[in-house]
Formats: sequence, C-alpha cells, structure tokens
Amino acid sequence: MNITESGISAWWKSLRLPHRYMIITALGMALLSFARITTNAPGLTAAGQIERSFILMLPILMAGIGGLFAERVGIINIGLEGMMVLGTWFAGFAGYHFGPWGALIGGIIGGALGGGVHALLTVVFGVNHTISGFVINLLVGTTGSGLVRYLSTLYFKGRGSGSPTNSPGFTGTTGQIRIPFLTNSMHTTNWLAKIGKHQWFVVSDFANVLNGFFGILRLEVVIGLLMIPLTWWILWRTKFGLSLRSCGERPSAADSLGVNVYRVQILAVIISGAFAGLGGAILVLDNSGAYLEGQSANRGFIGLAALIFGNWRPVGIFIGAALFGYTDALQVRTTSGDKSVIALFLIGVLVSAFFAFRAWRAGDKKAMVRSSLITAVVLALYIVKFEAPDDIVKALPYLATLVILTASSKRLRPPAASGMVWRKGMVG
Amino acid sequence: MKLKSLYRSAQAPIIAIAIALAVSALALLVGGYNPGRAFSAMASKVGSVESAALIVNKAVPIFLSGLAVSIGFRMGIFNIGVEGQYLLGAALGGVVGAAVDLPGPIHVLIIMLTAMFFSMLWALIPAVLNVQKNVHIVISTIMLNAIAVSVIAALSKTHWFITTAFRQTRPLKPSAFFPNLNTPLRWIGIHLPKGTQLFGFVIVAILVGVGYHILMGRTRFGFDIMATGINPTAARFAGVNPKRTILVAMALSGAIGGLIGMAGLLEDQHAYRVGEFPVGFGFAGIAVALLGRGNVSGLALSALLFGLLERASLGLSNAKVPREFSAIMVGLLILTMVIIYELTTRKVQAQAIKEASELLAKTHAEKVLA
Amino acid sequence: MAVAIELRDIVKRFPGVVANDGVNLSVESATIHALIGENGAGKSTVMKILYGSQQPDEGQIFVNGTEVHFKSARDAIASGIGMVFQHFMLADNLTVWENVALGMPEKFAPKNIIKRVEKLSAQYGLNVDPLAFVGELGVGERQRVEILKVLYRGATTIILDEPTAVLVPQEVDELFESLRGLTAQGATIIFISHKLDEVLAIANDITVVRAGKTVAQVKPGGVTARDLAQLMVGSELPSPDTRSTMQSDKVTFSISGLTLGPEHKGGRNLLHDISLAVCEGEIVGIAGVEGNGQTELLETIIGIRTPMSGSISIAGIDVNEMTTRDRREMGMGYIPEDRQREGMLLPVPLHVNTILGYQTSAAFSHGPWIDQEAAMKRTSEIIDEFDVRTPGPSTLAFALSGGNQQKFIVGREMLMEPKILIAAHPTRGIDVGAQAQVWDAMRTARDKGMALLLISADLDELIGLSDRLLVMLRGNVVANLDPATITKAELGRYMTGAHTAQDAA
Repeated sequence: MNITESGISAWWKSLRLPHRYMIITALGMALLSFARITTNAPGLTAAGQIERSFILMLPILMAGIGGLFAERVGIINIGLEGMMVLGTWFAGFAGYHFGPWGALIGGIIGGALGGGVHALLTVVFGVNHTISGFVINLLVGTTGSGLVRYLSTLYFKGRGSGSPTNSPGFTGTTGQIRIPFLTNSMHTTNWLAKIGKHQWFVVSDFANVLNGFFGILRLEVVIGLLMIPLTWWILWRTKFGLSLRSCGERPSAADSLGVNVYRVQILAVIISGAFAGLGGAILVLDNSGAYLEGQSANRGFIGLAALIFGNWRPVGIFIGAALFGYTDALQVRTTSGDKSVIALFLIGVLVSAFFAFRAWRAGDKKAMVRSSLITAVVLALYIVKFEAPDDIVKALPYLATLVILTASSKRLRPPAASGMVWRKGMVG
Repeated sequence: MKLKSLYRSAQAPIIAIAIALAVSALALLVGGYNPGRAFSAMASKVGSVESAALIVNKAVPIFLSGLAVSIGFRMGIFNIGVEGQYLLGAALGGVVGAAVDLPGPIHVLIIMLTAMFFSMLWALIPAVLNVQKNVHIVISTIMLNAIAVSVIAALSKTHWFITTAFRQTRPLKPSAFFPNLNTPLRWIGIHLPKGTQLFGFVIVAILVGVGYHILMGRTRFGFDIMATGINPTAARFAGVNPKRTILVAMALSGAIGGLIGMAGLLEDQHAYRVGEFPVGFGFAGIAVALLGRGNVSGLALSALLFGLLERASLGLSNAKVPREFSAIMVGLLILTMVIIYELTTRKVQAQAIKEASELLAKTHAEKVLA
Repeated sequence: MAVAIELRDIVKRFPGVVANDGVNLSVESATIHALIGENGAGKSTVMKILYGSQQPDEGQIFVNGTEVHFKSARDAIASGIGMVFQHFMLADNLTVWENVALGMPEKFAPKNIIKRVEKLSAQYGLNVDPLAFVGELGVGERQRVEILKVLYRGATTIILDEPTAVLVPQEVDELFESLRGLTAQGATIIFISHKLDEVLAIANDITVVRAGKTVAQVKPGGVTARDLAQLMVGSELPSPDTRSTMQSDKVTFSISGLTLGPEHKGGRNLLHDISLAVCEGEIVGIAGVEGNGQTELLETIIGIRTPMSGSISIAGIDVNEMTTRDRREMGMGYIPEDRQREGMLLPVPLHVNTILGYQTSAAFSHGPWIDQEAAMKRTSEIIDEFDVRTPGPSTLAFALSGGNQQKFIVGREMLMEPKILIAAHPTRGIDVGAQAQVWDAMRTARDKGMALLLISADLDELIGLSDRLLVMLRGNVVANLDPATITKAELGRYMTGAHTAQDAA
C-alpha cells in the first residue's frame, strides 16, 4: 500500500459531497485554462462559449432531472427524447398563441402528456419500460415522421412562416435578470470582459465564466438552475420524495407500509415527462420561439447519459449536463481553423494520462496499458494538430457522451428496482 | 387443438389492429378528415400484382432489420443501433463496390461481405463498451447512430464520392447488380408491369430467416442466447459466458444488419446517395421485432404489414390526408400491440399457475383421504 | 386475561385451492402465541388476513373484543396490528429512519423522526442506529429494524413470520429476550414457526394448523415436540439421521489454499486460505452464519469468481483455469442457493429447464444441436422420481410452487449423476415430506459413490446428513467437526465465533 495514495483517497473520502463538487469544478477550470493557453485557443473559455453552454446545458439538465424522477421511482424512461419533442411542439404551438411564458407552460404540458402515456403503459399495463419508451419515441416521431409532423401539418402549415416541419415562431423572451456591474450593456464595457481579455491563467477564464453567465442572464436559465435544489429538496426532504425513492429501491416494502406504489410511480413519470418537455420549451425559446422538427437532436438521450454519469444525483446530473452542454456549444460555435477541438485533445491527453497513472498505482496492468495507449493516440492527434472534418465536429456531443460514459460507467449504482415491472403482490 | 392455438395467436394481433384503426380514425376526425375516405383511398393502392411486388420489396429490408434486432431482444439487449450499422455498411459497400471490377456473382458477394463486415464492426463498438465498461447499450447505440450519419457525411466529402444531384458513390457496374425475380415470375404466369421488379433479395431474406429460426430454436448457441435473455444469472451458473455471448450475438446482429441496405444498393439505386438512400429501416426493424416477438413467421408477417401500410399510405394524399399519417398508424398499432401482448401473457401465466395449483390441491386432498 | 385477537372460522379460497378452511385462533393479550404448521398448511394466509393484506371469504376477526373488517394493511395498522415479514421488507439504500418513517401519515420532519426512532430503540433495547443505511446492517439488526417499524406505528400486537429462519441459535436467544421484553411492556406477539423446540421454549400458547384447519390449541407445558409434530403432519416427523460409514478415502473433490480477494480495495479477503476435500461417497457439510463467505465459496467453486490463489480440483484434475462450462462437463453438479435467480428460467417450460446447465452434455446435445426429445424424456423422469407436482413436462416453470421447483432442480442435478454435487440449501422452502425425499435421494447417491458438498442453514440437516462438518466464519474454515458428537448449541457457538478451532482440536 502506498501511503500518499491512501492519504489522498482518505482525504477525498472525508470530504462532504458539495466540497468534492467544488474541487472537481476548480480542477476542470484549471485544465481548460491550461489547454487554452498552451494551444492558443481563446474560444475554449470565451464568454460567448460559456453563455451558449449554459443555454445548451439546460435541455440536457432538464431531461436528466426528468430521468432522475423516473428512475428513482423505478421506471426507466428512454421516452424522454419523445417527451422533449412533444415539449418542443407544444411550446411552439402555445408560444405562437400565448407568447414566451405560454411556450414554457405548453412545453411542460406536452412533456407531461408523453409522461402520462409512459406511465399508462409501464405502470398500469406493466409493459417493459424500454419498449414503452421506444414506442413513445416512435409514435411522437423522433425516428422519422410521426405525430408531430401530422400536428404541424394541421396547425402550423399555412400560418405565417409555419410548415409541416416548423412553427411560425414568436417574438419576445421570458425576460432577463439585470444585475448592476455584471450585466452586459451597450454603454459601458463590462469589467469582467476586461479581465477576460487579458488571458491570464485561470483568472481570465473565471471572469469569462462569470461574464458568460451574468452577461445575458435569461430567466429560463435561472428557472432551470433552480430546478437542481428544488429536485434535491423534493426527493430528500419531503414525504413524497421518500415514498418515491422507496418505490425505486424496494417497491414491495413501500407497498407493505401503505404507500400506493402505482400512484407514486404514475405521478413521478408524469413529472419526468414534464421536465423533458420544459427542456424542449427552452430549446424553442432559444430558437427565436420557433419549433423545428428534429431540434431536440437526441438531447433527451444525452440527458439520460448525464443521469448515469451523475450517479442518479441532482448535482451530478448538473455536472454531466454542463459537460455535454459545453461540447454542444463548442460544436455549434466551432468554425474551420478553430483550435478549440485541438485543445480538447490536450485535455484528453491529460485526463487519460491521469487514468493511466491511477491504474499504475493500483497495480491494474491491463487498465494501465489501455489508458496509456489512448493517451498516446490522443497525444499524436494533438501533436499533428489533427483537424477533424466539420461533420465529425458536429458529432462532438455524441462522441463526448460515449467517451464520458465509458470512462465513468463502471463505478455507478442505479436505484435497486429501476427497470423492474412491479405488480402488487410480488416479492421484491 | 392446432386450430385453437392458431386462433389464440391470431387473436391478439387482430384486436390490436382493430383498436389501432379505431384510434387512427379518431385522430383523422380530430384533424377534420373523413376516416372512411382515407381508409378506402389507402385500400385502393393495394391489390394489384404490381403493388404486391412493391410491398414485398419494402418488406425485405424491414424483415432483415427485424431479424438483426430480434437477436438482441432474445438476449435482453435493446439494440437501437441497427439504423447506423446498415447505413454505414451500405455506404462503404457502395464505395468498395465501385472501386473493384470483378465478374458477376463475386462482385456482388464482395459488396455484401464488405457491408456486413463494417456493419458488424459498428455493432461491436457498443457490445465491447457494454461488456468491458458496462455502458448502457440503448444510449451508446443511439449516439453511434448519430455518429454514423456524421461519418457518412464526412466520407461523402472525400474523393470516393462524386457529385451529381447528390453526393454519391460512383455508380456500380452491372456485374454488381443483384438479379431480380421477374423472369421466374413470368415462368409461372405472373407478369409485372414495365419498370416494376420483384427483388431477388427476397431469396436472401428467406434464407437468413430460415437460418435464424434454426440457430435460435435448435442449437446450443440459440439456447445460450435465450437463457441469457431470460435470466442472465442462471445462464451464468449454467456455464454460459455472458460477455462472449453478448459479443457474438451483437456481431451476428451487425452482420445481418449489413444486408439491410443491400437490396436498395444492388437492385435499386446501384449507388449510395447521401440524402436519397432509404433510411429508417433500423427503427422499422425494432417495431417489427416488437410485433413479431422474435418469431420468424411473426417477423415476416409484421414486415409485410409494414410494407403494406407504406404502400397504402400513398393513397392518403388522394384523400388530402398528409402522408405522415401512416407513421401515426404504425405507432398506434405497436402501442396497442405491446399492451395486448402484455395482457395476454399475463392471462396465459395466470392460467398456468391455476392449473398447477389445482393439481396440487387435488393431490393434497388425495393424500389427506389416504 | 383479556383476549387481544380472535379469529373465528376463517375461510379463504384461491382459484383451485382452499388455503384456509375454518381457522380459529384466540390470542390473549401480553402473551406470546405460536402458530405452527408445515409449509402450505395455511399459516401465512391466516396472518395475511389478520394483517389486512388479504380478505377472508368467510369468518370473523375480533380485536380486543370488537369485530373488525380490514380492507388493507393500513386498517390493520390503525387497529394496532403490525407484521414482521419473513423476507424483510427493507430498502437497502435508504437509512434506518427512512425505512421506519416510510408511509407514515405524520408531518415529515427528519430530526423528530430520528429522535423518536432513537428513543424507541433504547426503550426496547433494540440497539439500532437510525442514521445507518440498511444495506450495511446484519441479519439480526435488520430484523430489529422491522420490529422498530412496527413499534413506531404504535402496534400492540406484533406478528412475526418465521423470525428465526435466518438467525443462528445465539441470535435466536437475543430475539427471544427482546420478545419477552415486549410482552412485559404489554405487547402481544403472534409467532409463526415450524421449529418445534423454539416454539416450546418461547410460546405461552400454541395453535396448530393442518391443511387449512385449526387442529389444536395447546399449552407448551403439556406437550412434547413429538406430540406437536404429530399434530402438524398427522404422522411422525422424519429426521435426517442414520448415517452409513462406507465412504472410501478416494478424494473426488478438493480445494486447497483458496483465497479470494476483497470486494473493494483495502477490504478483508472474502475467502482466506480455504482447504477441504470430499471423498467418494462422502457428504461434507459446511455450516456458517449467512454472509460469512459461503456464497463466495460457492461462486468460486462453480467458476464465477476468480480466486487470488489456491486451487480447485475434481478427481485430481486441476479445474482452476476452467470456465464454468468446463467444470460442469468435468462432472460438477450444482444446486444453487437461490433457485429462481440462479437455477431456473421461469417463463419457459420445464423441459427447457432440464437442459439448463447441461447444454453441452452428450445427454442433450449432438455437436451444435440440442436434442429436445431427450430433454423431454429426462424431464418426465425427474417428475416421476422426485415427485414434482406439475401438470406435465411442458408446464411453464413459474407455475410450480417453490417447493416443486426445488425438487425439480434437485432431480435435474442428481439424475445427471455428477462426480461432485455442490448442494446449497437443497431443502429450503419445501415441505416436510418432500424434505425427507430429498434427504433420501442424497443419501442414496452418496452410498452409490457420489461426493457431496452440502451448504445449509438448517442445522438439523447439516448434523443429520453430513459425514464431516466444517464451519465457516469471516471467510475462514474455523472448525472441522464430527456430526455424530456435536450438538446444535455447540455448532451455533462455533458459527458465531464463541468457540475457536483450538477448542475443537
């Protein structure tokens, strides 16, 4: 046993969860900053990049929280994608008629409807959860044309710029929160932006993060982020939350104590859909209020990945969603000749080298060789400044999802009864 | 007895179709359409010899896709990745097929093997990630579908592709054309109108279907897959190596997946055209696998039903209904079907338990009397 | 004394079965009342009716003299009745207090709940930490959490369903101590069991049910275990003794120096330097409190876990590097701990289950092909020889009762005539008559030369069947005992570590 190693891991274990999250965030910032400076890729932590990341993180975060409600009650929900699509459609419809707040509420209702169907199939009829989720996606039309195309033809075609694949859109936003000295304004230069321009190690990056967040602070971002503590409070500090978690751990135990397992599960799955729908509505708001077919672009599934990465905990999901949102923003913002992707290689080198080091310490030879090989390949890509084709850059969020799940999946523990079709009278 | 069991197995699908049609009619009414007119317009599109051939042509790739998906289902794996697997296979099959110049059957074979190989490789990625790192297969296969589309897009910018109305691979030479069945049909007195063909790939689909049936029902490997799907822990105690089984099953699924795009490539388009090559068979295959329940004849019937709906949907525009409505009908059909399957399974199980416990009670009573 | 609970002429029918056919029960308050009967006699159904989770077709229930009609467990709880299930109804990943507070209609205030749980735990001497996660607790502690749950709901009558089935003798004593404490404070206990010596030790009154009917209510002072047994089954209880001593010294199966690394880094070795040998025609028993490495030993033997060091061999051939399948082909039979999870494919017919584990055996396969007919024939043999109660060989496995599933598995493994049969809890959950059949079959197989490694929690079974008895504690073999001279109480002391190996030598 190595003393320093066990010292560090003992120290890490002694930390409380919030402190661990803070340290992870700080290390991440330092890593980004290092990569930015060595590769000369200011785009990596530009305020615009951060601002995009926060927006693009939200749909993933909402889907992840939706997944949390479902899986914590014991129901796997791969229908989140379809529910998010329903959210986008209903947000487009309601937004066109009632404006931005209508869009948010419409999205929630649309998603909740999808959640209701999933609850009906899985809880009432006892259909396999994955099959039910898939059927919902199919019916809604995440895999081609479906319900939303039909509805759009009925209700969007012929109205303004509407067509079978998009809604007419609306003007106006939910509003912006203005904070003196932090909010961007036309008249004065933001002091955070000034610090950001200096390109100091970590300091400038941190200023950019603050600037990206506070510069244009939209209300939906605040609402979305507030969902994290709200979710934590509901799940761990209310009677409903305890019932909900017990259904996902040991439904028969809950049942034996008079908890109406079916009712709790149905409610939780509807809430799950509502969150996915809210995520869809945020996408619509970000697209100048227009629903666009395919705009969820698998974010419901990426939300599930964030849920798994986050080990079925709200803050963990947030970190996962932030990672995916960041790569999503990078994909959107990256133009030819941009060095951001190359800088990512450097981060990849450092992270996989860390894994190799850890495996070496633990005496796991196979893992060490594997991680070293990956390190070498990514390092080579970095050295030759490999420029990925644009199309591959577009796939960055999906690649990131695969890579991050691969790096994290093994140590995780889902709720014990997640995926189980529970019937009253069953032992389990 | 036989008739009764046939009636029993037909009962569920018939009820499901009736419910799906009823709900579809409701949806049409909500949209302000006349369901009667819509359905009769759909019916008018099927019935001719020509439409029969076109329905079978459509069913062929969907059936193959259903087989590829069913292998995963049988062992409890929800493989959504067939879509990406077959597209990638077809694109690379098209590239290789255009690059080589070989005599007839060999040329075709090389293209098919290429497609199967790359499709299999793509299927092995989620399998390896799952076996080694426990990565959720539903999520990884969805990501890989999206990545496959990007890879094909990137590939289409290379010199292997040319620009016509689309970015496409160079056209295949006639030596790489798969023969159709029009001539044999003529021998038995069926004449297809000009411009219509019955895919010769029907034969391949039938052969693969028979092979699947034998493999799953009669071999040790099929037993291992079935056991793993029902109870992975018990399978392990019974000597099945779950990791190896997952890898082999996914490889097999990928290889069959590689065949999905072949009818389109070798008999219809003779090139891979980005944006024009038929997509969605991977997802249709999942739907068919759900309807057919891993049973070859069930899969074939479901695939034909899909082909039929697809064909009939052409009639929808005559009734001024958007063509997409057929997708809703398909979705509703599967929705009702999974519910009805669930309910019938539960009924059958309850019946079996009742029979067994009646027997117990009877023997118990005998024991007491004795 | 006042009557706390009274059941009159309870009848409950299920499709095809009459579970209760006139059960009467009268329980005096502040006493321990035992309800005994063999498996399937209808004990559990009565208790489910009393707990409100099932409703009787006929009959009346009185609580403290007033007639009640329970529609659900909630009603029963409101009348002060609580139930501790045999299979604990606890969520591992929730804390003790969360498990206790679950489903309570009161205001949700974690701090108050924790305080109340602490107080109750101290008051009744249950000694449970409300903040601990249930998954970290031992079996005895979990049972006390179940009792806490019931007390927290203000129960005055507590039903305990086979509470001692999972405990070792010392834990049983502790439990009895707690129960006596509870009655001293006014609680009424209904104690369901089929272990007669325990019932005689703890109960104030005993009610016997057989085939769904109450056959007697007796006082423990006036009866012997033999009398009770006769009341229960209508005949004498079989017992697993009569051993023959004709084993050879040819070693069929041996393990030497087997060490299995810890689950998590820095933890304790799950198995430590285990060595044992089973000779031809010998039954070696392994005793131990659940969770002391038996499961891990089984899984290492069958090849699901890889040991750090040591070797396993069958008939002198090292099988350490072999896969599970290879080991099975070498002649290793296996009756798993958990029949449904590890030994059956529930949704498919029995004749398919016959093949499970023997896909590659020449009995059922030729090359890559499976021989369904041979499987069908073998299934009928299993059904006949092991008295499996089933409508036929094509019946779906889940339709069978647990006991019949178990007999099927025992039959499947025995008829393959393995060189070494690893039998984990071979008679768990099956009724007394079937238990005797299985014991007979094991003895016969042993006499024909089969080597058997028996792992069981039933001390009668271990002492009665084994030719030699090993005791496992914390992943070690701590004692090698002669079952002819050992008593249950002594064995229990070895299992809990009160005795050490030195004493045995």
